[in-house]
This record gives sequence, C-alpha cells and structure tokens, in this order.
Amino acid sequence: MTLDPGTQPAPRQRPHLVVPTLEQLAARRLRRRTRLLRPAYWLPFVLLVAVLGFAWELGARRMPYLFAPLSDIVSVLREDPGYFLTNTLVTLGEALVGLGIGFVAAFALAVVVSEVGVVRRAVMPVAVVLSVTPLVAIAPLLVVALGFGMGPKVVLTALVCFFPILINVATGLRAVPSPVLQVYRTVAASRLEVLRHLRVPASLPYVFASLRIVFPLSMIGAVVAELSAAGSADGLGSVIQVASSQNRLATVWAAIFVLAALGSLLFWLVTLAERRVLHWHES
Amino acid sequence: MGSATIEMHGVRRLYEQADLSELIALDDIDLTIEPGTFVSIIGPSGCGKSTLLRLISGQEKPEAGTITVCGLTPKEAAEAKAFGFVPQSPALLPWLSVLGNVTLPHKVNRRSDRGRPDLEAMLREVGLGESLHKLPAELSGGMKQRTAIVRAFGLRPDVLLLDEPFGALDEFTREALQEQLLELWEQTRATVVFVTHSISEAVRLSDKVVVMAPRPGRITDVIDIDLPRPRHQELLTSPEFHAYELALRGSLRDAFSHGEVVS
Repeated sequence: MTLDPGTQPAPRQRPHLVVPTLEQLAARRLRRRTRLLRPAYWLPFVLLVAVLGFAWELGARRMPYLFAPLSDIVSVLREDPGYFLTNTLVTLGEALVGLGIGFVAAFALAVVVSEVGVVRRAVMPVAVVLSVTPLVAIAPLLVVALGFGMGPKVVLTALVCFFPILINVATGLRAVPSPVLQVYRTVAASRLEVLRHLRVPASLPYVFASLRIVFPLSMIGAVVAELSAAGSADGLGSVIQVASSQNRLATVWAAIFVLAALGSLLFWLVTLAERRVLHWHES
Repeated sequence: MGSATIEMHGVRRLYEQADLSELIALDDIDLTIEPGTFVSIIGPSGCGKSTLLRLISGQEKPEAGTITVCGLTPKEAAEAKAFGFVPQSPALLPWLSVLGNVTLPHKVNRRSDRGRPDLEAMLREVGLGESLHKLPAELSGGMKQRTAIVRAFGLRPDVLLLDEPFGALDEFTREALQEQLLELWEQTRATVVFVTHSISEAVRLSDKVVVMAPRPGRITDVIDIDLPRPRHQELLTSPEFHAYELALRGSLRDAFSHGEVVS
C-alpha cells in the first residue's frame, strides 16, 4: 500500500512503544473481546449457583416449612407476573420517595453542619448514635401514628436513609485539602463559592458511597413498614406477610427473590451513575 | 495598577502549643520588598517561612507589628485579588481539567477580577498545550506544578507567593520549571516572594535573598543577587553564581549555629 507522502501525517516519534502489526492487533482485540467467554471467568460463579441450587432443593425436601422448591417459586412468578409487578412498583415507589426526601433533608443538614461549628458539635454525636440504631424497629409505632397508607412507609424509609447520608456527606464536604482552600482563600473566595466550587464536588465520592449503603436500606425500610401494616395495602412486604400467614411459602420466596433482584438493579444503577459522574476519582 | 510593595514592621507571630506555652514563630520581622522584585526566603525548617507567607496573604494575623501590601492591609489586598499563591503541593481539583483548574480562580470573587488573560496560550507556553483537557491524575508531578503556576500567574496578581513550589520535584524538572517561572515573571514583573530551601534555586531566581533562622523565627541576613537577567542554564556553572552560592551557604551556616546557641 503506497500513499502520497505529501498527504500522510508525519509519523509521531514514539520509540518507547512497541506498535503491533495488523495481525497482532486483530488477535489481541479478539482475545480482549472474548475474555468473558473463557471458562475461568464464568465457571466459578456458575458452579457456585449450581451448588446453591442443589442445596436449596435438598433444603426444600428436609425443611418444607422453611424452603419451597425452586420449581414452585418459578411457577408462582409465571402464573401471575402482573401481581408481583404492581406490588414491586408500590414498594419501589415508597422506597424511592422516602430515599429522595431523606437525601434532600440530609444533604441540606450536612451543608449546615459543615459550615456552622455550633450545629456540628450538637448534631454529629446524635447522628452517629442514631445511625447505628436499628430505626426500622419503630415501624409498628409509625403505622399506629400515621395509618395504613403510604405515610409510614415513606417516613420510615426517609428516616433509615437520613443518617448514613448525613454522616457521609458531612465528612465529604470537609474533605477539601487545606492547600486547595488556601489557594482559594488568597483570592478571597466567599464561603458560598468555596461550598459550590470546592466542597460540593469534593463530597461526591462520599455521596455515592452513602448511596451504595442507602439504596438497599431504602428497600428494607419500605418492606419492614409494609410488614407492620399487613393486608392493608399493596407492596411486596404485604405480599410476604399475607402469604406467610397462609403458609404459601412459594409466594413468600418469590417476593423475596424479586426484592433481591430489585436491590441488585438499584445497586448496579448507582455504580453506573458513579462511574459516569466520578470518572476523575480513582476507585 | 502596577506592582506592589510589601512592608512589614516589628511583626511577631505566636502559636499556642499543646503544653499551653507559646512558640514564637516569627519575632520582630522588618522587611521591605520593592515593587517588581523577586525575593526568595531561605532558611532551615521551622524558621517561619510559610508563616510569613500566610501573614502577607492575610490568612493569619500577627500578634504584633504591621503589614501592608500595596498600602492595603493583607486582607484588603486579598479581597482585591492582589495575590497569586502556589503551594508546595499543586492543590489542583481532581474533577477539573488543566484548563478548568486555571480558570476557576477567575470565577470566584468576580468583582475584583482583573480580567482573564489567554490562559490557553499561557498553558501552551509552559508545554501543556496537549494537556489542556486532561485531568490532573493524568499529569506528571512537574506538569501539575506548572498548572498551579499558570493558575497563579493567570490572575495577574501584584504579588506572587510561592511556598517551596518545586520541593517535591526531581532536579531536572526543577531546573526546567525555574526557567519557565522566570519567563512568565519577565512578562508580568509582579513582585514575587519565593520560599525555598535550595541555595542554588534562591541564587538563580532572586534579586534578593532573605535568610532566616529558627527558634525564634527571624531574619538574619539579606543578600542582594546582582546577576544579569535573563538567567539561563549556563549561568548555573559560572564563577559568579558559585560565589553567591558560597556566600549564601555561609550566611545559612551562621543562621543554623545561632539557632543551636539559642536552643
């Protein structure tokens, strides 16, 4: 292949690189693309799933009051997917609304806490204690106080999510290295400018760390609140409560599996968003 | 607005220690820096070099004495964006590109901004032309520090404060950056206060070298460096250069022994 030397860009001097030939390049590309197809990648996982499935079936025979056969669970899901879908959406809605409210409130308080020392010294010790308290335990009280509607579910979810977000974001907002602060203080940046341009972006890794914790927690909050108000409303927690009281084990397990799938999906979405937003952060 | 003069009279700075005694970080500092001069501050660690910079830029207040910058208090000078500061670590924001990092200081305290020079051209001038849109994590140590220097120069400050900016760099990078620093400075002729612990760096860059001693932090000597500019690489091997290095070394040794007598 000959090209007019006049139109060809000057070859860049890169003596430190070994440039592959076209055949090598093709081979390497193929190797990289088919990496996931190699047994070393998928076999360990598949084996473990198979072992777990086998153990499950064994459990279903020995302890029929705890496990349902996988085939029953699958057929329950296939018989009425609409039933599971509506209930899933209800639970998901409660969880996300609660999480959203909790997030906005926690972020706002984190900003105040990071800016005002007096507030920080008052709030943070309380926040640390409450973040290790199993707040889901107040679900029955919330149901009594707020009724059987969406209220107690959203409130419980927001409450459960609030403290982990508050603690992480408050830490993140103060994670700006002091030389950086000094550079911007010598140009007399206002507190608001420091917050907007330095503190909030610096807190993003902490925000995502808290989201990874809080998305699964939000599901737990919503489900526990539903369990405490069984039969009164929709949602996977109600499904579980009603089905277990009627000894329909397959339905209970089907709902739990849906919750697991939903939790993984949310976790995966957070990871995906994190990769997009935090491309600058090595993690 | 031209360059500035820094004046310090009888400046004293104390730090309270863990045992409640007070450490004299700086004692009775008198220092006048003429407009447009390049002044280095050299001395062993703990002699208050960085404290001096923080006082000039208004980050800290002295217990006694007066400091004026351009006839203003340090705080007012900072409000007027009179300062450009280069810390020892480059202190870049990891989520902003090179260009974003040098632009951001113009987006804060806008009222006092002195207008944005062609920052891209400045970055190109120091060899960062291909890295304008790279993130700090993709840069070498020298490139990061060059970005930090352009960030400071880009503000068109009256006073540039540099706190051991090349301390963490290897010898070759350090010398290349000294050259680029001088080139940028020739164009702006801002007043520079440059903290260093390298004798040859101080001689190469400065019009005046202020020698400090620790415990308590004080000025022991001021040496004028009367070498022609521009000062290129060849100067480093000339006999005049060596003579200044020797003189400075002697002065520093005195500063050290003083310190030992006191403690």
